[in-house]
Amino acid sequence: MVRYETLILASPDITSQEVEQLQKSYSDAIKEFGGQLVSFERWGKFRLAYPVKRNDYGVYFLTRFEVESNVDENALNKALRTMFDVRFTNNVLRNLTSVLDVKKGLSYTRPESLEEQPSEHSYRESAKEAAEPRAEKPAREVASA
Amino acid sequence: MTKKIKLKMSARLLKKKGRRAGFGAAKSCRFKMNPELVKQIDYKNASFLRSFVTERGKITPARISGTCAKYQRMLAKEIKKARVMALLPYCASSY
Repeated sequence: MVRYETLILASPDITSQEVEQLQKSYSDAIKEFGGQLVSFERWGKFRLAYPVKRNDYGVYFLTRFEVESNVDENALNKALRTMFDVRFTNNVLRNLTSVLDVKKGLSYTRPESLEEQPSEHSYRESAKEAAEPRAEKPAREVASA
Repeated sequence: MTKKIKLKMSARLLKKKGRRAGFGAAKSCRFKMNPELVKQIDYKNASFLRSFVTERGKITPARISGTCAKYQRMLAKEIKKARVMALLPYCASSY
């Protein structure tokens, strides 16, 4: 058994429908080679290190799959590449497939996405919310006294 | 005429030796000291790889970071993979 993983960099305005399509056609392509999908994870939105196809932001997806060791690697790679480059030209900016060590397990560390970090906007809002009750409290106390 | 004496040591090694004498003890490899760190060498772990890249995005030479050849090779490979996926910059104009 061989385990592979593909990191997909999708354009930031990919819709959830398109993601479903992508996942479906991806798992179909693997099933053709007698493999099965292990995971399909959404990392979230990221600011890219450099603009790719005029996009400053991108959404990453990490997928993992297993196939039997006697599978034709070149054909599999070709099938996946043509799927990304022909069917999802507008949505998929980059893709990278690499072999995973089966002994090492599935755990990994990934960078923090913009959705996980407190953005400036939400920070300001939470700061406002924090400030408002403080302003209200003394006023109420004065009224009750 | 004086006969030319051929140096047995290459110029690069001589230079290196001189440097060692000038700057004290040799640097030690981070990954040899702490084998647990080796697991972190991965193209997905961009925040870790950033510590082996200069502000401009260049890979720090082993001569400076002290990493031994084996792990420097692994690092370089993963950094280049991360660059392809736009997790790390090829060249950072402003950091």
